[in-house]
Amino acid sequence: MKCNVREVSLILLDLIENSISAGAKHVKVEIKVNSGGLKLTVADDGEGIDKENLARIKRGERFSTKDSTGLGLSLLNDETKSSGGKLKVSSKMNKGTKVIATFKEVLKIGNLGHSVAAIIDESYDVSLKVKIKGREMAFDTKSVKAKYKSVADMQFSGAIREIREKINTNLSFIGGELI
Amino acid sequence: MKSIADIMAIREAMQSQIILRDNTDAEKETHIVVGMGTCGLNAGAREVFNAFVDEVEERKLKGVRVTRTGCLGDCKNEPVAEVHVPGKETVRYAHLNAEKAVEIIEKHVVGGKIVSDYLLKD
Repeated sequence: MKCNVREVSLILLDLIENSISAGAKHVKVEIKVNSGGLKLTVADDGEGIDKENLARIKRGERFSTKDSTGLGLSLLNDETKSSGGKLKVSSKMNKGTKVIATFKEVLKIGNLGHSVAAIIDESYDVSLKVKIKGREMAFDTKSVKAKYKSVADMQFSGAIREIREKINTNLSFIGGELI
Repeated sequence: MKSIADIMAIREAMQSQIILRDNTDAEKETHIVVGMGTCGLNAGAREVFNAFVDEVEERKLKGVRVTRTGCLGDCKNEPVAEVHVPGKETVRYAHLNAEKAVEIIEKHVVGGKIVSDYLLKD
């Protein structure tokens, strides 16, 4: 049975949301693509997931907490499985959480620029690395924010739009599929 | 040596810097908060977020900030966004898309009138 896998840039946004809800100050995102498939890693320094909930996630159970509906991870679990891959979630309380989703097909990365635009914020930093068969691109929100007074300024001045376009251009350049 | 045109250009750039520097009070900002939980994202919340940001830039709106939040708890009504204008009650809109986002900026944020058609209905 194959279920419709979401666009990878939406999956990563969903996972970053989890990290932000967990109070993360730093989120590290990596996408690695080769002929065998795609691997998405999202690691954060948030409050972590306790042993009990971690076990439930491993069982593919869907449960909600005060911060989340639990839909994202259970959906991702189904998606990775349907593509012959797997979902690995590891966590340490008060240290952070790491989610590794592997897919045995080369999935569409999608509108990465749009996703990055939504996670430029004063309260946390996100670093992003995309590797497609040996070609690489990197981006981090900390260094772009340093050039501006505030995120409101970045929105007002068109900097967000520029970042969005630059990321999508770079992604195309290294062979990523946008649409 | 700089020409008069060069100096005028520098002065103009500095003027806009000065205006931006004056607007530092976050409490006076209008906040547009877009719900980006799993349901919201699946329904197009990311596009709504970017539509709001683009319209802020397009209209050169100072003192308006677009932010995200997690799930706003309205899975059936996504995408959902809240508009917080300082001194006014928070307004929640539902079933949004890029076009509606633009309209909300035009009519509510700029025009000051709530767009009742798009309000979240219980």
